[in-house]
Amino acid sequence: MGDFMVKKLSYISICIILIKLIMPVQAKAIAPIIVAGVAVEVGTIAFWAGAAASVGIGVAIGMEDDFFDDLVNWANETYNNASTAIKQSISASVDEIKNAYDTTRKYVIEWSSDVQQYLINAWNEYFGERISVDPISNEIVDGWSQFFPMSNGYVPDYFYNGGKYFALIESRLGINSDIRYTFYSFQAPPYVATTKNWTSRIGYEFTNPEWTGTHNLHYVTWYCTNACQPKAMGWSTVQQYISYAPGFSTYESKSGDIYDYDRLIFANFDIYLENDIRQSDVIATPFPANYPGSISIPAPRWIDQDDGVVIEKPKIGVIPGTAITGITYAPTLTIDDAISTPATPPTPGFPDIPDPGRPDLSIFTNKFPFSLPWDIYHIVGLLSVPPKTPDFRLNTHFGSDIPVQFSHKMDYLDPYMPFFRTLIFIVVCGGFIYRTRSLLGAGK
Amino acid sequence: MMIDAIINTVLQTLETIAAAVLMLLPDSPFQSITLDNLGVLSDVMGYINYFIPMAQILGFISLYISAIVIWYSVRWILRIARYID
Repeated sequence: MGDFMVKKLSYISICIILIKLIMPVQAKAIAPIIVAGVAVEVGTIAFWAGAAASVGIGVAIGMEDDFFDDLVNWANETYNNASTAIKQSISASVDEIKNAYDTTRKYVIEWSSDVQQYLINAWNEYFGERISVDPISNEIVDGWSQFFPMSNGYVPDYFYNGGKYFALIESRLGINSDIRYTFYSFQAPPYVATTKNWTSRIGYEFTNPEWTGTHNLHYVTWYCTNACQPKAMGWSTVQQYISYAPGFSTYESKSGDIYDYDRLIFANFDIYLENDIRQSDVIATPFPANYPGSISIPAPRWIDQDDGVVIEKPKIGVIPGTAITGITYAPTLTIDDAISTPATPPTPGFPDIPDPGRPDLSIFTNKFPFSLPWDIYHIVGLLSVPPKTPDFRLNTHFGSDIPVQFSHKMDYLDPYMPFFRTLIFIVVCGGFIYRTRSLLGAGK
Repeated sequence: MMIDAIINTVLQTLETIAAAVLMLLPDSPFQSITLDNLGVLSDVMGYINYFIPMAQILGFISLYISAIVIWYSVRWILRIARYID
């Protein structure tokens, strides 16, 4: 009966500890664990569950509180690493950019080659999960283009090439349709133009299609100028590869001629949770320039805000290139190295990632009998008082009139005792190591 | 997200229930013991610690026990999963 109760109390304790550990990060932290759990074997899940329980037990018997921090921060570490590294590549003051350039935001930022390569890797890692495909609809789970007015488009595939993502659009067209496509500007118009590759699928070819695009900074619209229509009744499919730049979600609140759009008309599925801790920290929507071999990234989302930061050694401005009808580029603006090494290091204006908080275990650690592990730790802690030099004193009388006085202070050992204490500690550690071998079954 | 909300609600409910139960329990009687209560024992422990590094040893023991417990837990789980014999 006693054993049963002890087991039951242990299970309850572990469950409560786990709940307390999980609560601060809530479901968002659980979700990736669940996803990972599906992807790996059940044994691995059990391993991590056991590890988490062991950490809980370890805390119970007196591990430092830092273990809590480690555990809680573990969930954020990946995000922090990516975003911190991106921050570190950013140094010039945003004021330099703002003062040097107009506010129309018709610019891109070209990264230096080393930063460029870094970002290719970092962005892939950082935004890779954003380029995910809805397993049900097989769509990239964000709205990124609009098919206007009559077609439903979806994105069955995309590929990566030289730092740019290209998406394959497929849409079904009805006959006798006014075939017109509009792609909005987070797919940069230059890309839409230069990667245009209209083809049709088996059996439903167009009749001499001639497409003409009209461009705007905001969007490009393609018309079939010769009344092309599918040959057959029913549906046809158009494929087109256009650039697909990840990480564009942070512009939904932008205003201005470039980014002013209503995301509602694009997205039927929003992958970005409102309280996504990463969302506040990402670089804004890429606005790719048609510039081979480069990654062009727009200003960080703070560029038009108070104290943001921009990218190290940036060249700000529109990359000079072949102009596309209807698009007016501002002249290129280059910021020299002096700006990249400012006299006073700029203070990054990035918001801190919210701390999910430390689990509140006080109610658990103070209530008897659950507090017993912490009580042991407390009592043991009482024994860990600082070393005190022995000072033996005796001051009394032998009989009635014979004084007995004795005083002996061992402070002459003070210079040597740290060494001997260390030696004793090492010996103790060695003893533990020796005993551990037999405890773990070594040599049997 | 709907699933997030459900999970969060379940977690919060569990936490609320656990907290309500724990609130009924008495406070630990051991937490009130402090160095001031110990009186002369505190001096004696100071003298002992002068010769023997009790603080370091006790700290090490706690970590050691943690490591052993973790090892046994992991070993137990791995055995269940038949990862090791």
